[in-house]
Amino acid sequence: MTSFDQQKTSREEIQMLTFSLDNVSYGVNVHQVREVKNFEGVTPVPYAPPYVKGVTNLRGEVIPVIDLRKRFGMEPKKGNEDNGIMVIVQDKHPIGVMVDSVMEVLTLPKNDIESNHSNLINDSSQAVLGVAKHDKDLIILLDLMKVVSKGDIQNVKDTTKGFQIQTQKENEDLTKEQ
Amino acid sequence: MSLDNDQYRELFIEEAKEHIECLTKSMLTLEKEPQNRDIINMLFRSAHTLKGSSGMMGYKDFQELTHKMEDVFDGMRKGNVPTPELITVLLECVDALSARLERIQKGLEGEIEVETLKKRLLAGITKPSPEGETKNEGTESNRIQENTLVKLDDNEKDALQKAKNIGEKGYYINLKFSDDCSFKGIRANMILSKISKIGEIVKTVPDKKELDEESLKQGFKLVVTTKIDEKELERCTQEVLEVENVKVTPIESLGEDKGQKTASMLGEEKTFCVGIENGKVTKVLSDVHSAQTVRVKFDQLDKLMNWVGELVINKIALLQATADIKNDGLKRITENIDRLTADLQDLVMQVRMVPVSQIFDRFPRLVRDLSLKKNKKIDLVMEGRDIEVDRTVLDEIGEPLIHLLRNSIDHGIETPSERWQAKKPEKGTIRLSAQRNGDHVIIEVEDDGAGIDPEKIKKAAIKKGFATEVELEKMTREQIINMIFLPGFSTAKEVTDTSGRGVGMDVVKTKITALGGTVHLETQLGKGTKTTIKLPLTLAIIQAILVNDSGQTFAIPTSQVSEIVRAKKSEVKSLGKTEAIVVRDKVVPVVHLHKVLGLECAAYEEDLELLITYLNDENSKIGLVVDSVVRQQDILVKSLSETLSGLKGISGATILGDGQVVLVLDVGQLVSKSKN
Repeated sequence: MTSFDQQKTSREEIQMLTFSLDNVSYGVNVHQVREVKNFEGVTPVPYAPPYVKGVTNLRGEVIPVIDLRKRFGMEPKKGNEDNGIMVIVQDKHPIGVMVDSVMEVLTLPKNDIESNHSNLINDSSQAVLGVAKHDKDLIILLDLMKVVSKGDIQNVKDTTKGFQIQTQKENEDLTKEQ
Repeated sequence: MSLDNDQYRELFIEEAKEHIECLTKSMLTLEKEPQNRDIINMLFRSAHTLKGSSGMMGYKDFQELTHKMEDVFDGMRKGNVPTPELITVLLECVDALSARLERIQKGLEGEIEVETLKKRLLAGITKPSPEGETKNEGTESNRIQENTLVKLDDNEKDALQKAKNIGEKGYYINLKFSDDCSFKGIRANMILSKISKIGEIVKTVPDKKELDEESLKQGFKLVVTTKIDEKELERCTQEVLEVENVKVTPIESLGEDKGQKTASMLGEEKTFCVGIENGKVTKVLSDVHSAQTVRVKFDQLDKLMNWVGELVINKIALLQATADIKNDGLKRITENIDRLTADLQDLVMQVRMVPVSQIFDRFPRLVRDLSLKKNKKIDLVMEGRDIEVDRTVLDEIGEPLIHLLRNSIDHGIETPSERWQAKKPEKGTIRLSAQRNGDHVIIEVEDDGAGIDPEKIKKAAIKKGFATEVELEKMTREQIINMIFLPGFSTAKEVTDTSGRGVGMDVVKTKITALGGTVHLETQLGKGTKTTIKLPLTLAIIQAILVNDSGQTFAIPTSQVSEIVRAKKSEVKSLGKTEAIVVRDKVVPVVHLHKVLGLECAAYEEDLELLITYLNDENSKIGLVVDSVVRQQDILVKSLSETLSGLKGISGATILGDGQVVLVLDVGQLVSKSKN
């Protein structure tokens, strides 16, 4: 969560790209996203981890596409029409992250971000950087690098299953472990 | 002056690596020819350069050790004969340097334990032998000649060049104090302070910090830049008392072909590198000027290769798209593009070619160390060191070759007494050779050791459950021998730290197959073993067969397919768990692509196509059933990213002309996977 902290102290506000998964809004620091592209189909890869949708062609480069729904243990969406892909770069290698839809870039003052979210969300993977208030919405800020890294799959899965329940029930205090 | 700058560091690392390689190589030669002055001089120069550049970068430990090594080499120049023990210690020093260099490269801490190595170096030095002393005199003139030259490193050359640019001149001053003169150090410092008033001092020999009686006996040499002319400079230095002899020579040019002396003065280091790079340890002065080279990062070369590959694929798409259009103008253009891309591709391939000596030259050291450890006497004979292969190929074959060599040393070559009993020369020979064969390079590792005993393999196979006695009965000798390529198979009686952990040969096989190559093993009991590796010269662009199965397209390298057979579904017979088909009166087991890939069978048509592929050897064929074969074409293989690494059976992906991404399969791995 340091990257957000640094952002905050230097500028007092942060820019984030928001996207949705199952009608829940998520945000990611714009610096983590190299570009956004439409989903144009992938080539499935046999025996790949289940959350890897396949590989796709990004201007002559073969990049893997991660299905964030699967990564978070959600049910697959019916129809892939509007899906968007955010391209992030990890260790110089671009990775596509598929979400229901990519929404907009928001600039939020840091005061609107609650980084002490431990009582809101059960987050053992530390992929959640905070929860931001925007209009009447809540936006979960993610560190995408942590989400896509090969390790702690289980953690992220558990955690984000948690997001769903908890964000739906909003501020209801849920402290029990999954 | 510490230049802790990434750019300089990179340069330093690259240069240091070359010198370290050269040190190792020269030291091994020295072991055989302890009195070879050329080699000793080369060692001295390398150590000296390393000392200078590491000092400049502020790596004190590195500098100290190389300084010590330089002293040792200097001792050899004066006639000390190196003992094998000393060479072993020196090699250890080189290892320490190389490990330190790696740490520097990775930005890690950890200095060399200079003191221990220093002590051991001191212990290793022997007193000069009387024979050595006479030698010394004989080569004295040689030495003096060399001493009149001052070696400049790149920074110093830069300084000269800069001075030249602002209208100053470079001078080389050689002065000598009278023999009985005292306080040479102080006098030398006086000269330095005088000159620094009228110009810049680029370099002094001995170094400024080491100006003492002893070092100055040989004389005092300076390289300076100044506006004043040589007469003035001479007069100025002679103002200091007891300076006996002053010689001022202007430095005309920096490495240009003017002035033989300056060329050898300034170009020495370069010449040396060129010599090594060509695989010959010879000085080719003229080459320094004629063969102009540029250092390019491998990264950039890879990118270039990638783009050219992309271009080739788009060219294919263009040719396909325009094939039916009847337009002479367009046809000419596409033909031109076809030719140009082919030329470009050839050139890029050539640029990426490096001689196998880059890998081979590490092996004498390995063989030396291992054979010493094992108390075996082994000669390593290398042939075809100048054969060139693509860098990617070379990067990948190092490990398999080390495996093979270790196998030969550990299990192949017998101990001297065993060899004596077998009426073989005491010294075993391992022959490592490379040769070009069309688009392939063939690398052979051959030893004259004990060979592989098929009976031992049989026993091990039964013990480890790879085969039953009945199955073994039916196998040919070749098939039995080839079982050592199976994962987890190792016939070594003892587990050593180098080989025999049961991962040897299958690693070799896997790696080579992944590179699109083949491994072949011949062995004769009591006579020796020969492993032949056949590899494509280049990896990036390969010929592949595109196949369709379960509605998806896959690419299979043509090198893995021996023939394509059309068959009907009904011809595939079930044999309980497995299936087989009869091809030209031979039963060939088959596997279905969609099954090994875990895909659902979309359309099981009556007409099938069968790709026949060889597994371990020509006798074990296997058929891969696909829905249809699309076509054969050149593809550019791209690796799958980290997220998808380690998927068995999928060696990469490629992008077709229409932008579609297609997976490249490794049939051997797929089939062995399906067996498990």
